Order: sequence, then structure tokens, then C-alpha cells
Amino acid sequence: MAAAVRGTRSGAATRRRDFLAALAFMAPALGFVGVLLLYPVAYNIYISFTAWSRFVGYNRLVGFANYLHALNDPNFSAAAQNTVVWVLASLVLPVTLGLALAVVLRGVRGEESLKTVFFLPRLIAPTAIGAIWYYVYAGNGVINTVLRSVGLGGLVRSWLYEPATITPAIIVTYVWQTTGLVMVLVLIGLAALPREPIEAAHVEGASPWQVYRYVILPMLFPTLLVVTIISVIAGFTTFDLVWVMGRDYPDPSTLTLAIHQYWESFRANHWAYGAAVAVILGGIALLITWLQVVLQHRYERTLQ
Amino acid sequence: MKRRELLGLSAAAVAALSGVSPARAAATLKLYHDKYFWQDFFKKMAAFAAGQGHPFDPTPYATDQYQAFIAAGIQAGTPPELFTWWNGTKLAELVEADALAPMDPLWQAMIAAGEAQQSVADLLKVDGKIYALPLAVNYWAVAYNKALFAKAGVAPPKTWADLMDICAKLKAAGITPFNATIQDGWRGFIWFEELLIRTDPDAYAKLNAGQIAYTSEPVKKVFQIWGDLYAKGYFTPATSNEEFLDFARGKAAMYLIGDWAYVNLRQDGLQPGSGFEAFIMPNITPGLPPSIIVEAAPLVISKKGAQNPDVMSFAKWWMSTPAATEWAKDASLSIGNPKVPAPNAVVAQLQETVARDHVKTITRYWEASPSDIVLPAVEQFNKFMVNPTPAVATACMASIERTARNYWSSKK
Repeated sequence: MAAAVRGTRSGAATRRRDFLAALAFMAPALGFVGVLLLYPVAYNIYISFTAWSRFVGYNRLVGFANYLHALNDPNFSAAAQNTVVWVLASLVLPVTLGLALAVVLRGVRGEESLKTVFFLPRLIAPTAIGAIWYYVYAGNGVINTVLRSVGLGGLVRSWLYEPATITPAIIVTYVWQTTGLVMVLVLIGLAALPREPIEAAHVEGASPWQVYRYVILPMLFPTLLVVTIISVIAGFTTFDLVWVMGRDYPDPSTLTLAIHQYWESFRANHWAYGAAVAVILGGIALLITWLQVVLQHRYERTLQ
Repeated sequence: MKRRELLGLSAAAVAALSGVSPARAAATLKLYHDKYFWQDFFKKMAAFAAGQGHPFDPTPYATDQYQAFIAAGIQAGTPPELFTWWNGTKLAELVEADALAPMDPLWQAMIAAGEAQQSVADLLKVDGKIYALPLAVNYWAVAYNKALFAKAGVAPPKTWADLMDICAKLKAAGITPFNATIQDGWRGFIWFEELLIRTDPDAYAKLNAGQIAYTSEPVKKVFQIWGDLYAKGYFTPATSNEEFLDFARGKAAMYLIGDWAYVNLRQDGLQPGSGFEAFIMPNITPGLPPSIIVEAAPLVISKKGAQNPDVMSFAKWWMSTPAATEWAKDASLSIGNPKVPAPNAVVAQLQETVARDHVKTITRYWEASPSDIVLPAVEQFNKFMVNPTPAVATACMASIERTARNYWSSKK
């Protein structure tokens, strides 16, 4: 009994020593995360509860006033609605298209070159892509010129200067850029799948569609989950393309939550309000990540 | 070797060669600014300044980050010593924050020496004190393409009726009269402000002070005139994002813009004097005194900076004739020093007209109105320019009025 107690005690001491050693090793990383991430986030949350007067600072706590302001701000609701459109679009379009491309391209001749071609847009910075596509949609840009030359002059329009077309136009650009990445991720996922179940299904006489639907797709689920999460978060935080392509157009249809936050903080100098929008945006992103974890756990449990 | 050290060395070399040995070499000052498109001019100016014993290092920022950087510095009590800003309400905000040092004694000395003008000082005043040095003083006149005017057989107008006649003749000759876009998102106020001062300058002052509404008659009239000009096809599409180039390439005959743009037009191939000249927009309401929008870009000195003798001696040097002459040469910018020749033929003409006809200078809308109203208002003006219909005009006026009402009621 006494030996056992001594053992526990020395075990606790070892654990503490191990913990301290681990802490010492982790200290630089913890320091960086604390100073560069946690502190700014905490400070941002704090200032979102203050009234900020320009050049004076965060001089007074105002509770949830900035959050209430967000609820009553028509630009915030427009931004929130557009963000939902962006999330849905970036969830459905690149994932579906990327998956389709991956399945079609897999094993065909010239797979490598085609993969490169589809992935190429991903290598260009989004701001540069925005600038290029600005001219694709310009008054005398590629799209309008093609429309005119095939006798569809009636469809010619200022794509980036009309509320009905601007968001779809930017989403097309976004899909053009991101589909390649989804395709490559799915191809990697496909390559990692075990061959046996697929071959067994073929031997059992399953049609290619059945193999795809009932064997490949379920096994691909973890990959698709990751791809989906990446896409949703990208949709939520859309900024660069919209900023470059929609910057000149003064309509709430070009707002997303990220744009709204940047505009309010840095253009209009409403820092406290901008901070509140950032907290809301961050909260939603956390929620998505949490959902990811839950889904993954559930999936792993069904596997067991 | 760093450029700054090189500059310091060359300054020392110049001092040695000229036989002047400064009692104490001035430290290289940091000059922060958001005029990144002028950075090359600033650099040339810095090389010249180093030779004159006033070394400085121009540090550019993008405007958004710049405002945040300055605001954060002021909040923390550590603003830069020397930086560019805006005049009007934006300058007043810095003064209210107790960040700036007044420059009245310096100005008085420079005016007495004939190297500065009271009218420029007036543009940089807050509550009767002068809080800045001039970085540039720009007139907003109508530049016109001489070749296109000749092609349509028209000459610069004396009256609004003349101008409308010119527009009709240009249009008949297949030339679009006016170049105007919403490029970069800030330009929407240009025609709004101009048409308002041409119809009712008192209303312009009252609007900026929150004494009349954006839905009042004078504002409605501006939108009506503006919309008519659009309906007649007198403007280029607002959606171009190559405004300077469009005018330089002759896509329109006239261009209402600050004279700082002349250097861009020159770079794009249209020369001041030979390619284009400028006239002051005629008044629409008969009997109004002549006036012109003027934009003064200030260079300000923080309270801390004012305690640094190097900064103060730089300030005096910056306003002096040699420095202003050099600045006018490369950047083609005037700081209003009467002893310095105008930076180009067109600005020379404008300066002469303003002096001869006692043209009243009016502060630009961007600086004359509170920025909490200006930013959303400009979006609305831009919206109208993209879709210049009466319905959009009504919606724009109502929207700006909501913003303005919120702002002014929060100030009470």
C-alpha cells in the first residue's frame, strides 16, 4: 500500500516534470500563438463592445450596441444574404464540377496535362484573376465581343455594374479558379481508395453508375467532407475577387460579410462596429468547424 | 549602402563642395503619405532635399491602411512627426484630437517674404489657426481637348448657354462632350458638387453644414440637370476604369478634374498647353460670382514633430522658393508660392484667371462635408452615374438624406 502511494507520488512528479518539459518545448509556439493570434482576437472581441471615437480610442463600453447596429444595418443584412449565396454557390458548384471532372479525367489519356490545365488558375493570385476577369466582363470585353459577333447583341450588358449580374459573374470567376483544386483533392482521394471493393462490385455485376454511387462515393466521403469544409469557409470569407471586381460598383449586391467588415473598419473608420462584424464572421466560421468535427465523428462511428 | 545613407553622404558632399559646413547635420526625417502614385516624385524631391541639407525619406501607404496607421498612432499618443492628410473636416478631426501643431508663425513669415499666399493658408485653417503646410493646391477646372474642339469648330464657353451649345455641336460631330467615370469608387461627387455650386453655392455650404436636406429643391435641381445631360448622351460610360487614358485618347472632349491629373494626361500622351487647355465651368444661375473648386492637400506636423528643430526647419524649407520650384518641376504640382513659376501652361492660365477675375475658391465636397456622410453619399452618386434615371435619383437623394439625418442628429 505504502509502495503504491509512493509510486503514485513519483508518477505524479514524473508527469509534472514531463509536462514542464513539454511546456518548455511548446513555449515558443505558445508564445507566438498567444501574442499573434489569441491576444488580437481577445482584443478584437473587447473593442466590439466599445464605442470608438476617431483618434481618441475605445473610450467607453456600450454592451451589445454594435451588434444591435449590425442587425439594423441594411448593408449588414445585404452582406449576410450575399454571403449565403456565396456559401451555397461555392459549396455546390466547385465541388460538383470538381468531382465530375475528377471522375471523367481519371485514367483517360492526357490526364496529367488536362489536370494541369484545370489546376492552372489556382496558381494565380485571386486579385490578379479579378483584374483579368474585370476585362473579360468589360464593356468591350471578351464576353460582350463574342455575344455581338454571334448576333446576340441583345444580351450585351455591363456585367459588373448591374445588381442582377454582378454576383453571378464573380461566382463564375470563382468557380473557374477553384474547381481545379477540388478536382486535384478528389483525384488524390480516389487514388487512395482500396481496389478490392471496387473490383468485387464489378465481379458482382454492378453497373459503372452503381459502382460509383454505392462503392466509390461512400468511400470518398472523408475527402468530400474536407473539400466541402474548405469550400464553405472560402465562401464565407470571400474577399479578394469581390473587392477587385466589384469595388467600383456602389451597390449592396457586391457586399459580403468580409467586405462589409473591411469597409466599415478601414474605409469608414468605424472600428468598433467593424470589430463586431468580425466577431460575428469568426463565430460563424467556428460553428462550421464545429459542425465538421461532429460530422466526422459521426462518420467514424458509422464505420465502426 | 542604403539609399538613405547615400543621400546623407551626398548632402554632406554638397555641403563640403559649396563651402558651407552645417553646424549639425539634420537627421533624415520620415515623411508618411498615401499618395503612392506620387512616390517617384517624392523620391526625386528627397534626393534634391538631401542636397539642400533637409534629408527626408518618403514612406507610402495605401489609403485605407494609411488612415488606420495614422489613427492608431494618434490614439497611442505616438503619431508620426510629418505626414500628409486632407483639409476641411478631416483636418478638423485631427485638430479636435489635439494631434497637430499650428503653423501660424511660419506662414506669417512666408507670406511676409512673398513666398506664400493668404488664400492658400485659409484653406488649411481650423478655428482660425493654420494647421498645415501645402503639399499641393489644385484647381478643379474643365480640361478640353484642343484638337476635338477644333474639329467641332467650338471655342471655350463664357456662359452655361455657350457650354450647352458646345455640347450640342460636339455631339453632332460624333464627339462625346464629357469624360466622367466612377473609377476607384470615389469620383461620384465631382459633378454633383460642381452643378450645385453653379446653381446655388449657398445651398452647397448649407448642405455641408447639415442645414438643408439632400431632398431639398437645390439638390433635386442638380440631379435634374445632371440627368438631362446624361439623357442627351453628353457623358462617357461611367463604367470605364481608364479615365485618364480615355480623355488622353480623345474619347470625350471635356474633362472636369483636379489639375493634379494633368501629369497623368501628359504621361498618357496629351500635353498641357498643346494638347489640352482648361476653363472654369460657367455658372448656371446668372449673376453668381465666379468661383472654382479647390483642393488643398496638406502636409501636417504633429505636436511632437513641432518640438523637433529638424522638422521645423524642413517645414520652412518645404515652403521656400527653391523647394517649391523643384516640386513644381517633377510632380507638376503647385503649392501656391507666388515666386514659383506655375508647373505647366494650363495651371499657369488658371492661376492667372483666378487672380485676375477674383475667382472665389470653394472647398471640395470630399473635404467640406463630414466623411461619415461623404462615403455613403459618393456610393449613391456613383449609383446614379451608372444608371442615371429620375427614379434612381430620387432613391439616391432619399438614401443620402437618411445617412445625413442620422449623422447630424448624433452630433446634437
